[in-house]
Amino acid sequence: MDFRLHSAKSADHALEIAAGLKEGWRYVAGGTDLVIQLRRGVRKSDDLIDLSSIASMRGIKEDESGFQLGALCTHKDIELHEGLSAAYPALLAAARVVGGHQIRNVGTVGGNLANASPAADVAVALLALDALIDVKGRSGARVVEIDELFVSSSKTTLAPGELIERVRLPRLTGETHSAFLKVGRRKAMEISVVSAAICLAFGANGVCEKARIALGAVGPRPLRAKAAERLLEGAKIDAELIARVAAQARAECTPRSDPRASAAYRSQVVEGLVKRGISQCVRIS
Amino acid sequence: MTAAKEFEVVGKRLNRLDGEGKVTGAAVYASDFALPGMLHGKILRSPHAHARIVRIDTTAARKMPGVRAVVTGASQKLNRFGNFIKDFEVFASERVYHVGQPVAGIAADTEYAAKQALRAIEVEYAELPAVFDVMEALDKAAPLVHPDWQSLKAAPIIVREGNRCSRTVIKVGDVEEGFRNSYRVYEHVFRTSAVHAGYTEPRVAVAQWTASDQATIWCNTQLLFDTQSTLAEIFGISPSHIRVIVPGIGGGFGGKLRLGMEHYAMALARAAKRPVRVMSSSEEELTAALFRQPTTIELKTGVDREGHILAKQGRIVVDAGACSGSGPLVASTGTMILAGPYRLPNANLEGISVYTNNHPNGSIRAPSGPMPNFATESQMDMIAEDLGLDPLELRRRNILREGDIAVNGQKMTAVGLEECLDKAAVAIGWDHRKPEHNRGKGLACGWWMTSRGSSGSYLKLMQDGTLTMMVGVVEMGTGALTGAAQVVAEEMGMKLTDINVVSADSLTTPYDFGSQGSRTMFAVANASREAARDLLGKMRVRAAKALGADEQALAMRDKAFWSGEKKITFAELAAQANTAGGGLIAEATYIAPAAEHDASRVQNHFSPSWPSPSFHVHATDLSVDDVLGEVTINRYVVAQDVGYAINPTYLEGQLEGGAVQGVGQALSEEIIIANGHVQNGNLTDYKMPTAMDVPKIEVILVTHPSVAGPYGAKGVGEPPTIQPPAAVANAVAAACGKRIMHLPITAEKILLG
Repeated sequence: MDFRLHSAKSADHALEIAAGLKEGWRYVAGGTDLVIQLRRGVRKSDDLIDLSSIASMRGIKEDESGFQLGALCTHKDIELHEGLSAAYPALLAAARVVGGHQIRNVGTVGGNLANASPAADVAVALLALDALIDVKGRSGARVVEIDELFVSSSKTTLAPGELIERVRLPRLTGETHSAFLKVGRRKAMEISVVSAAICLAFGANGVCEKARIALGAVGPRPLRAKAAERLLEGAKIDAELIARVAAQARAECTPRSDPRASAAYRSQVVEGLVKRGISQCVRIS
Repeated sequence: MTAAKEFEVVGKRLNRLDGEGKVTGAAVYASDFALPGMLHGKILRSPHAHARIVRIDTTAARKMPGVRAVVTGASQKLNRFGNFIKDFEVFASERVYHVGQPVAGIAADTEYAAKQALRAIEVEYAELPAVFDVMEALDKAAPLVHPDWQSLKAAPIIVREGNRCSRTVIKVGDVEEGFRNSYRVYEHVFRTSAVHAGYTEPRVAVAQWTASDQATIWCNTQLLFDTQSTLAEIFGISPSHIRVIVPGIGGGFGGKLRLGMEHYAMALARAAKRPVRVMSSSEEELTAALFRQPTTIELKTGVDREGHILAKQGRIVVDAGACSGSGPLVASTGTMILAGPYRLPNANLEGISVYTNNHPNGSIRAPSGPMPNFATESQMDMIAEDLGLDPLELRRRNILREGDIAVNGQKMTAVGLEECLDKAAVAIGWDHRKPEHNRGKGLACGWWMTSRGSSGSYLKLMQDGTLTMMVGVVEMGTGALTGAAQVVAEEMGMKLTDINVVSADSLTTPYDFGSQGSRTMFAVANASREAARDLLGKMRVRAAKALGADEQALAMRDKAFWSGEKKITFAELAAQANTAGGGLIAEATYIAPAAEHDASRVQNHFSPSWPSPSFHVHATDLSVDDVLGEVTINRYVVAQDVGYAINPTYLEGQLEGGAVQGVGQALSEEIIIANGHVQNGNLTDYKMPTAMDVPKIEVILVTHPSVAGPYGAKGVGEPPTIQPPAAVANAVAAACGKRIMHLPITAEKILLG
């Protein structure tokens, strides 16, 4: 592990540093995954641009439209923010099961997204919550819908040099419920073997108006089971429908086998998690 | 022991003597140790499971910045070593036979420079056929891991044939006859996986040569004197010219019994003519440490209609890895665990260890315990279920009781097993074995021994009236030396804090078999107690003279001898003796008597007698998530016959920690190896249990005193690690009907198995 560390004072400064570097550089914030990858030699970077002292990228703000999370918000910041965790139970549930306390004190929401691990917990929760990502590049700022962000394992649609400035969560209206569940080999300090985030909005008549099913570690990226979502939207949810939706969600996954679990196990468990997640949201409503 | 009431120090929950330093961080561990001018060493390891080394070129590495020495198998003449067979090389000479095998070492100014320089070593390999499966390795057509096995020196007890590097048998009666008379015969195969010892501090050593044939090593071994003699053998120098010091050890659990980094540090320090420190990284720990051996266990048991065992035939096949290490011992002792604490009229139990091109393995806490116990105790429940019997009742009908003859022909005494069984069953609420859907309870019995081996103790009375105790073991976190000091304090009429403990220096402390085998406190306390009695005698003689009284008439209290109202304190005695010459010193040694056994029943057995046996029962209540397969342990009970509790607090700590370690082996821990390559060689993917994974361990101390033990104590450290896999497997089966035959019991196996 051998690199030059460049400290950025602002987002623009970071972009400027990046523009002057040869390929292979990386942004680093908490570094909880990147540093491990560099140490193990899985990834090599000659230059790291440290974003951690950019004050404007910190903090959580709330306004009428919803919440804005600076990209440097840590998992612990999310966990401890009462308004945010009350509004989005799925996000709270995901943030508090990322690694251990030490990781949560350092790892950031921006990093969780930009790292684009298919097993990232917070990314899966944000995917179910329709987060909008404020991105900044040399050519200006743009907004990326979270579902448009992920390509495959550690690949995003961010252009070279672009960085994530903040994450915006639209305010949930009416009767909306969310849940996040994960499975691992132990009950803490665990990387998800499979995770699922569900967000369901209900109309006055109890009909599901909007459904989001986001799944982790069952494909090359955090993915949405969109056909399964469509089965829920416009329907009154009962046990039979939940079973059909879960089976459909399973069919939309392409899990792999690795030392953590087999594809067969992931496939079976994702169905169980979706079923459980929807039931949790329905029970609350 | 009801007599415990009259004791002042033993049996009390006193604070550990080494507690404050360890709690505050002031204690020095081996990994903290540094010398001026010290270099840092790194090891280049083989990427192949089996290959011929065609060429090693270290020219470029030697020119790298900061590099002070490079060592390969060709550059230093080092002898082979190994506990039973000399099949380990320090650095590979002609062939590598496992992934991770050291090929070269570099000492440099910094760890970073050494690591960088490793990449500059060029090694050309020609790959050879390898074998990874023990059953395939036993096949005559399999490639030989050591084609030269016949020329490798071995202990006489070792019976070898090709890849099979040991064989032990216990035979009683006629198993075939027993099977013929059986109402039912059950045959099963069980498998267990490699696990890491899980110590916190990686293995580390600092070596310094003080003359061309003399060196001092500061390291974190559990065995000072074994390390000393092994290093002497490797380097061809006299053992007394090697001084081994353990400044402190951050956990061992058996994983630090055999050489860790000491030999690499010594070889590099000799080449560099500077002190060298070598510490393994956590990745090296999880890919190249001495793991608990994976095993395959075949078990066939015949019972009558009432469930009495009539015959038991079994074989434990131990994957020793590419070097035999502790494999032969594990296979041998494993036969006793296959028998279990049961009456067996007919038995034929075999233990073999087998070379493969997997990483060599070692001795983890109760080295041969959990694997055969998992097989035996799982099968007991399967038999009970088939016969429609309560598993508790089946065990009651077969367990060893006072005076019974065990499988090795040994007459059992101080047998607390039935009491453990009763108390564990009551504590877990056995009457409601399946309290709700997907929730169940399981239990497992076990036995273990208090290992023998010699201990010595030097005592000296200090001028302040305190006592210094010098012993050759390492306090590896069990509280064993506090326990031994409590025994000495009791004998001397002192407070525990009056005992100053000096330990873990091979030059200044007496020989000791080491911190292993549940025998540390047992043997050190016995030796020290003997020395204390001798010292007291000498003190009494001086006191009588000083007080002008008869020795027998002297009373001893408050660290003084009294003759009526006249007294002389221990401090005064020490000062007087120092002035008059000689001082007050004493020494003693101890080795536990061997238990009598029937030698005609055993062949090539390493520990055929079972000295001061301990008995234990674990019971657990757990739930299985039927959607995810996840296990949640609701309650966990350990009932252990400890003989006598010298310090109940630390004893309970041993039982709690051991149970947690065992739960890790039961549910989540596994070194995953494919074609000799570890697949999860990091702490992200090697899953030791967290505080969220284990409930409070409920401990029940049962006390059937050992005649040999100090105040009746038995060895306690290893046993609690033995039963958890079986107890958990049985509870999982009770909860959801799934019988898992292969450790660990992962959610995936429960759901898809």
